[in-house]
Amino acid sequence: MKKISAIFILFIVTFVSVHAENQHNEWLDSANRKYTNGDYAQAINQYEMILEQGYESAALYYNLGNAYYKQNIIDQAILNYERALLLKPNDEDIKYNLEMAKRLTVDRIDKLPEFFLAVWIKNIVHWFSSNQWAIISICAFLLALIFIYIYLYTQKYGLKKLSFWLGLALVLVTIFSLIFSYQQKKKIIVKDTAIVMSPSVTVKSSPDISGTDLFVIHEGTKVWLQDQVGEWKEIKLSDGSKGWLRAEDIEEI
Amino acid sequence: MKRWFVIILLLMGKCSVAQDVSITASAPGVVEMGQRFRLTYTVNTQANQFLPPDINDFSILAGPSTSTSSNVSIINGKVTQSFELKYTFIIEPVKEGAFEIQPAGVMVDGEKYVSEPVKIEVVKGSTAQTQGSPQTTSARQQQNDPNTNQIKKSDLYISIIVNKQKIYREEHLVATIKLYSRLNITRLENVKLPTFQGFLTQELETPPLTSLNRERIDNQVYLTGVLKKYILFPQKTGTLTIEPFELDVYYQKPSDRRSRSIFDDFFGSYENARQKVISNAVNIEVEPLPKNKPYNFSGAVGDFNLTADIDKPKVNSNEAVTLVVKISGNGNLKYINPFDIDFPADFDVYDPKVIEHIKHSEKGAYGHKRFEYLMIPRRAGQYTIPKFSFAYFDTESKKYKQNSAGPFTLQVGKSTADTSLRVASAFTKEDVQYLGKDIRFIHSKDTRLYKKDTFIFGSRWFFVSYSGILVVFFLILLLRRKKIKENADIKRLRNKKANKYARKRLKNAARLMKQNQRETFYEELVKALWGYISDKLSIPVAHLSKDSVREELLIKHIDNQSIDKLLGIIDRCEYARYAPVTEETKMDTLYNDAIQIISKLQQKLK
Repeated sequence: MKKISAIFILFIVTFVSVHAENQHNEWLDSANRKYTNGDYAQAINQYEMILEQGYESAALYYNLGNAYYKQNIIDQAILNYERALLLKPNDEDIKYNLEMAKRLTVDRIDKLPEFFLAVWIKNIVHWFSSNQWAIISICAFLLALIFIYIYLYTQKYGLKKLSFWLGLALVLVTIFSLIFSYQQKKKIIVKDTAIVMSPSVTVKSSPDISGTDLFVIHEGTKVWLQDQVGEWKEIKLSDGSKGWLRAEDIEEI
Repeated sequence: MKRWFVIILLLMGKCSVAQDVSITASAPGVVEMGQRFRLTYTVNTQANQFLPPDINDFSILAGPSTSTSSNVSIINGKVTQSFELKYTFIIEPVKEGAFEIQPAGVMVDGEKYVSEPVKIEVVKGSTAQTQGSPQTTSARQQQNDPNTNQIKKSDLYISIIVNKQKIYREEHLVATIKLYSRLNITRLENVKLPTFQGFLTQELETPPLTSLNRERIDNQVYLTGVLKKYILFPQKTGTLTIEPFELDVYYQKPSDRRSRSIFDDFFGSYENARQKVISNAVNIEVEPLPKNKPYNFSGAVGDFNLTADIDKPKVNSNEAVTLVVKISGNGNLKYINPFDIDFPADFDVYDPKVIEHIKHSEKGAYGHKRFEYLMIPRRAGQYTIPKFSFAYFDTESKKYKQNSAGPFTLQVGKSTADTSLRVASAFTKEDVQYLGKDIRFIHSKDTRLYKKDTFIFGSRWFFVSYSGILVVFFLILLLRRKKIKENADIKRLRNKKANKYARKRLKNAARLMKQNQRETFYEELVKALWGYISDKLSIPVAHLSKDSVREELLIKHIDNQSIDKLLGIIDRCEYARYAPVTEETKMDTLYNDAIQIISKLQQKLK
């Protein structure tokens, strides 16, 4: 039994570490050094270069966001913080800095109140990233099977009872962490949120330049994407108001 | 020193005289036959030589006589000098017709300056106006007007002259109030102006009525003067009437009375008379503007031009930009309102500053009106001020016309001052506790990078590990089950063979009993019993104890008596083994009991 779990852990570790390459790590280190020395523009360049190579991590986005913040490019900072938060949903530093950056944006949009249960579930989902939930589900599955085995073959009554309940609980944990992992993955893959990148955007009532002006939003505001017609996108704000704007004015998280 | 100063002053004075030389000619435009008049040439500087004109069509009675006048005035310390040199001819027409007197010239400092030619029209004069003797005039007057207070209507009248009688609403027209007279007017009084009901009026500047002009009407020379001049903008449609203009005219008329002195006869005797003059009333037909008004028409009538411009195409945010919209032309400029321009929503736009520059003349009201829109873009970006248009009614073509300007693009850059403003906005937005705090430092420990969009969930590894765990689990279950099965088989075998082994052992014991080997006999007997129980209950011999055996047997529903008996035999055997001296129990009874109990158990334990 021990042997199997050891092999399994080895699987995960190799899987995760296969992609981390030395060169990119060097770049990241040098970019971090530049940031520390106050050379934010250079740091941004190097961080972006790593991203261009197709690599990412929560720390990378977070550091890039910090560099943009220091350069006073708030919309980019918010965009990168949000991306970091997707990869690492429960990181205190990312949340804090995102909040700091949001304070510098122009729009202050009230949030619609959500059902408390939905908020709880959301919070739980945000404890871990998709990958973390996936690993949790695998581990929980493994443990659940172990307890089921114990339940099946133990002669002792107490142990049997204990392992039954533990096994059941772990099966539930497996199922839920699977769902959560799927949700977190969906959030990254299905790009349904975006940040306004233009300094000022007039939101129209229809996907046309002649549409009635509904409201004006400014850079750094987070919007939820609803629909798309040509180069126009329908967006929704956190206060529930909807409208159309050009795709070029926003960037998906 | 003083002397020099005086010389310089004199020089300066001399210099100031040497200005632009001009020579102007003045003479009445219309004269009657036999009327003497003056032809004057005025030069504004000292001339060396006067070159008189050729005057062929008139007879020169006197001249040229020269007169000079100079004038120095100091007003508020400002010195102005004027100098006039006049050459005057007194001439008389000899025949009727229109004549032109060729220009005269002067030589000033070796250069020749020439006047304009003079046009004079000579008409056949009425005898009344000829320069006859006063007596004949008075005689004629007496003949014509028996009532001395009555004068001929044609001798004195006022008329309101309008340049158009049929106009559109808001289109301008010029009304001129003119006095015509053949009398010797001394003064005008009690001017009663018309009300101009239904019009918006704007009085035009008219030169003060110091002298009357001569004008030829129906071959008669009239003295005329423009009393007032107005531009009128009708505000209503329909027929509007300009009310008559009233005026009291004082004039001199030759006296009826017999002259008392000889001088009276010679100089003529006059007396003042008063006459109230009422002008005609004028009707103006005002038409409404055509129906097909454009949506943006706001009442402008005339001929206009629209220009607009932004003072700078590129600014930083929070810097002011001015959009200047200028409407120039002729018409009711006064009533043009600021435009509705769709400014970008992010602009702060102030009410436009309106600058009017309107002049009134006989051509109407012309000039321009400027609207200066001050805008302050608050955010960076590229903005467009859309095209805007201005509609007016063109009175020339009698059509609505559109003028438009724009669109304008405005590039707004980020200003350096923007950041301070942002901080300020943060102030107003939230509590102040975050100010002065910085963002948290970068993460440099967890440097693991991942390929973008790689997820464990749904990946090959994910499914492999899940199915791997499941496979391993079932494999273990399977193995375990197999082993259990095998174990179960062994038990059954042992169970089957238990009796056999026991019998073997008992046989062996019986042999030992015959050989009287007591010790080994008891040993064999105990082994046979233990072995049998062990096989039957599937408990290893090492784990067997009397208590556990009793428990197990009870589970298998063996009665206590048999169990006691079994355990009693075992006890006695062991006792006999370890206490060989005191032989009490017979070997054969023990043996028989053992056989008995085994066969009994054999029946019950299947």
